[in-house]
Amino acid sequence: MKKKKMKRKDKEDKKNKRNKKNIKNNHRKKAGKISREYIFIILLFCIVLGARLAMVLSDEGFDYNAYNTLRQAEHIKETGVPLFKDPLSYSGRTTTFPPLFYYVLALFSLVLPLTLVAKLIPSIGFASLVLVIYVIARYTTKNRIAAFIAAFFAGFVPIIYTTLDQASVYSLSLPLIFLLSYTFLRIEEKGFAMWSIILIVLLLLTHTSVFILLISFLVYFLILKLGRHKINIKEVEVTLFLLFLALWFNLLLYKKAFFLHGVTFIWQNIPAPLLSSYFMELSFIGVIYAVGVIPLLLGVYAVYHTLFKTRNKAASLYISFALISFMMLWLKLIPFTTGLLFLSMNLIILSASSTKLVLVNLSKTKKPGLSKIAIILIGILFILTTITPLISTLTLTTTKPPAQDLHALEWIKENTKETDVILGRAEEGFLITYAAERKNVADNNFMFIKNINQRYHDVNSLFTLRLKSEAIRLTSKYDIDYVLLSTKSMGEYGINTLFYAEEDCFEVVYDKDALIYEILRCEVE
Amino acid sequence: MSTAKQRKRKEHRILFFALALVIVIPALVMILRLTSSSPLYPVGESYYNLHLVRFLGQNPSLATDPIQRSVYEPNPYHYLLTFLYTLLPVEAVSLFLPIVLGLACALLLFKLLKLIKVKPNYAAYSIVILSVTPVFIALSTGLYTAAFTMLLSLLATVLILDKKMLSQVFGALSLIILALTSLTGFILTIGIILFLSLALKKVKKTLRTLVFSLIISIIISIPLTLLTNYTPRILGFHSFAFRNVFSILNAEYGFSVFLLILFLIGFIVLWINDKDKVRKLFHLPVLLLVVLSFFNTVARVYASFIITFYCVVAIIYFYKRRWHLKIVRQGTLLLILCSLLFSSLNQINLLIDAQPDKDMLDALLFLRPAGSGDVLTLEENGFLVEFYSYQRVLLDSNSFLNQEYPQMKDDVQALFMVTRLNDAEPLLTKQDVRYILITPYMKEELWESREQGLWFLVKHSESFDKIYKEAEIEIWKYLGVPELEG
Repeated sequence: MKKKKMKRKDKEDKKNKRNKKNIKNNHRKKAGKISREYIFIILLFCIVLGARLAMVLSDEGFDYNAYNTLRQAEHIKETGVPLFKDPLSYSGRTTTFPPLFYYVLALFSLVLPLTLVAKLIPSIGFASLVLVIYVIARYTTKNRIAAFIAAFFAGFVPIIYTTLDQASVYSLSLPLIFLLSYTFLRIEEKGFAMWSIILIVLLLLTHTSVFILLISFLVYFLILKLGRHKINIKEVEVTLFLLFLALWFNLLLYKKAFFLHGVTFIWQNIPAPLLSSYFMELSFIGVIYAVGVIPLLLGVYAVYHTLFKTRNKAASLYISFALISFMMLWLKLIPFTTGLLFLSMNLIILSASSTKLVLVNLSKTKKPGLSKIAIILIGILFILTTITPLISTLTLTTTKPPAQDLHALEWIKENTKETDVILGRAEEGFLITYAAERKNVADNNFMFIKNINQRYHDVNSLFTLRLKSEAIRLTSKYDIDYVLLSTKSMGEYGINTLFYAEEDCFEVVYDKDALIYEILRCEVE
Repeated sequence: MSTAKQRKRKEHRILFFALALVIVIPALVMILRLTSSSPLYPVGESYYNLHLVRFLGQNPSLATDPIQRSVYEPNPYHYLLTFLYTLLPVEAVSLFLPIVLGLACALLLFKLLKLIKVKPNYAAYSIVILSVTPVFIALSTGLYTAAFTMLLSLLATVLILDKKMLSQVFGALSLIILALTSLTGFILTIGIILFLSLALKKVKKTLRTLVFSLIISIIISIPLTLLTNYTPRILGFHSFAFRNVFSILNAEYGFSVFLLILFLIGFIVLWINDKDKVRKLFHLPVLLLVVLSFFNTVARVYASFIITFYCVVAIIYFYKRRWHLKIVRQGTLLLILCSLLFSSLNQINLLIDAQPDKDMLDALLFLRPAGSGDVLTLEENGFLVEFYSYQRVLLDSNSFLNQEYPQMKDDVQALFMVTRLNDAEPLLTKQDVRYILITPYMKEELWESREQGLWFLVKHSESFDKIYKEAEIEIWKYLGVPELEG
């Protein structure tokens, strides 16, 4: 009896040990899978980041608009507060904006040079979209491979590379917006509600684009209602909170702008001649060029499939987000590049559903190996169809100031008085305030400026005028002391010199590729 | 029994608080204006009404405005003001009349809400919301016809919906006076009474009173039209513009964005929760009125009063519903409170900062003995110049009733932008301009704080003489026209 008992005990012990071993092995296997998944996606992130950094760090300088970001970050670093009262922009003006992005740059600039931070942080921000899109696509499709393909699309979609030298605020707001949409979808789970609130606050402090997401939430509820889905009450609650917080915060922040510009505030008070370049006409080719054929086709098919077949709740959110981005682009309520950024990311998330569909259907055929071929085929097709737009994006969108112009600005900084006003094109305004540290007549931040069309017209006229008296009238109107005729302006207006610049009133004080004229106060009879 | 008593006491407490707000907020605006040495009322219609009171006291059958030389259309509100100003001390009437009118409107709205079977606590909360509404704050801080119109309208509605015969008679009387005060208000009130009586199933009784008052109004207005300058006109319409609709954009009678959102939420809550399909339809005219209010000033005043109930529904819904996320509940309620505070503070701020201030007053008083002559200034300053300086202005806020208004407006615009004397002279002579009043606001808005346009011309031409300059306010005399006598 005893022996029998002993034998049984031994058997049970062995069984237990085997079970424990199995569990350990399973854990190891699982851990291996998770880590492999993570390794791949982190590798992709590193590749995208590396590619961006290689392009960004290959040459010095920034896009014209980035110099405002640099100046704001520098000011925060020195004083702790942003430049809401700018003594140099428009020869002195007040402006408001959500400052979080500038604070982030200023914070990192404590340990690294600002010019490096302004290249590094936006690159990390845009590259992090790979991770964010992967997490979202993984959640919506429950398929690792489809999610990975979507993340790959997000890393190399051409439109993302238009932001290379811009130190763009979207490098922070885009990941935040998509992360918020993700936490919103998982709001039922523990901790996600709190994350949603934190992200809402961060987003509001970063950019006004939160309104696009807010409208998307409302359309999402409408789609759910039409599809007779049950609306999650927590989602409604967070949306209401977002609605009131976003409205309240933005009304508080932009009260004066609303007061001054009324509803044209939406178009950022951009002068009429420039409006068409910011808010462009939406074209099908333009969308293909920016998003890529494969993500577009897969995304559009996912819209159809979700709306009429699967009615996937999570995908519905991104359908409404894509729909709102498209509508705003179409109605010219959002700058073209910004709209395309939102549209492309949403289509990429949706494309994961189509990719999953293809893979699942192929795995059900007699040759399941076909799914692997399909993955490779999708990848190759994506590369083939985006390589041309990507190259043209990289070559055509460089809007950096030439070195000759930077030298001229250096001269201004060293040889003029601190109170002097420098005339340059509106595009060069930020550069004048950052590089030369002098007052400009106009720059690309048009908010809060009255009669902007007149001012913009006057600035342009001062480069093309032939009549000296009119030029003197305008220079005295804006108290201009120097005119910077940069090499870029020469190309832009097709001139080598100012026509009206006669020696009695305008003296050339710098003549090395770019020209600088000093205005001598002379009376016109 | 005790709970019923407690509930009643609670309702009274809320109502008391609401009425205290109705009094305190406008009083605060007035006190703050007075402490900054500014005249009591903000620029606008109040000064036109005061200006007329001055002449109606001397001549009750006034036919033309003695200063502006424009046709005077009799209005019961002007006569009421004249009566009060002759009967009571001027300071007391000026200070208390707008507040009393506001208080009466609030009480009547409370009574009306109770009459249409709104829960008493909802009705009391509606008054709280009303007290922070930009339109209400604006109306309770000046002498506005719209406030009187609203009072008559609410009075007529409450009385006509009452069962008693005597009330109905007084209701009809109020309607008749309303018809002579504001035809737009009269039409809106008839629509509201009809709609409410339909909802309360009292159509027969109210229809009789409505038809009676309509006939009497027509009978009275025919001889008035024939014998006096009274012209029945549906006023207040304008094209849609955000600047006219939202208080944040400095609209004269504007909505608060937050209240409008709360109204929409309240409307949806009522629509969804109301199981009775027929009763649901009774909410639709309110939505129509709100839509109409985007195009009509009087309708906007009415809508501002009505939406308060829907806002209360929305807020109570947020407060009472079981929230899944407690932190979001607290955050949302706090934000609603902040937004109400924000919109009312914004309006209060606008009214306190509004012209005329002490400097403007000094300039206007300087112009009074300067000798008669037409004054060129901004249209919105027109009533101020007429009231304080006793001078005729080229354009004021009532000039749109004149046939020549478009031409005159073009001329004034051209004059503001003219830099050559040769171009200015024909216009100055044509419009008979003697004085030019330039305010800091004009310098900023018209000439971007730079010497250009007319400002440049007056400074650099010998045809103009600067007769006043204090605190950036300038008065220039045009010397091109020979001095008039008397």
